[in-house]
Amino acid sequence: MSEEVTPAEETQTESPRFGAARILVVVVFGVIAAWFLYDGIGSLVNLPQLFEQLGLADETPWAALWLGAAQAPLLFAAAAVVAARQPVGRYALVLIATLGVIAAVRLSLIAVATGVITFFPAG
Amino acid sequence: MARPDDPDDDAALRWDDVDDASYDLGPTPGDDVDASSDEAAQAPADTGAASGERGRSALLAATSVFGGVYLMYTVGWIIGVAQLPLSGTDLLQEITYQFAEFLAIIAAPMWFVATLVLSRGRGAAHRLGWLAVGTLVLVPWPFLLGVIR
Repeated sequence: MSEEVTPAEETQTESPRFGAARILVVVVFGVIAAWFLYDGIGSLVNLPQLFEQLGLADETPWAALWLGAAQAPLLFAAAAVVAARQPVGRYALVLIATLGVIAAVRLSLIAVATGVITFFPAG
Repeated sequence: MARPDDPDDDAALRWDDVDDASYDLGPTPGDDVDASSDEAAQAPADTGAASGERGRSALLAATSVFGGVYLMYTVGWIIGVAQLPLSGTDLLQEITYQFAEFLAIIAAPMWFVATLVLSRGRGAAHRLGWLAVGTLVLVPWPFLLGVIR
């Protein structure tokens, strides 16, 4: 693989263009990120009630719940800023990878939260 | 070269006149300076090229190691998502959970590819740094917690 950056690529990375394609990429992937935010907020609101009904109110994984709600917008915004100077193709690639990270973090938090129930049963 | 004072007929077949300016005595102390200056000029270039080649090989080796780690992460996520107790209350939520699991599985290869693409033309530290960050962020906890249990 060549490590050289062609002048055309250099020009593309130095002069970001906010065209329709870039806006479309942000909107489409932003909707997916927004769903993760919605799901995280839903867990933050509903899971503590479930834990309370199960008699596990003291074991409520508040850190995981808050992190689950906040990570999606934070990671997506960070990726959108970091890759802002990239051409639209690379910009989309970065945002797809970021959505993967958001999903991985979300599922990891769910695993940890459900692990809390398994590891530390009430009583 | 004709030498009027010397009637030697074989003179043209020999080149042993040390007074002849074109006679090559081989390397002399004076000549060594000139010859070695050319070699000295070439040596840093060779050293630099060899060093660059070694650097590229080291970067390729490190990238390959990270590639193996990311491959294991992908396998870990494939196994891990099957262990998660995720089930939607309706079809839409079920589809979104399935999509989230798919995104988690492709996260590691996508991070690897994105890092390789975005680090083109930048330093090795840039590429290896982002690959290292990915190995911290994308740990397949569902799989690891399942193994621990």
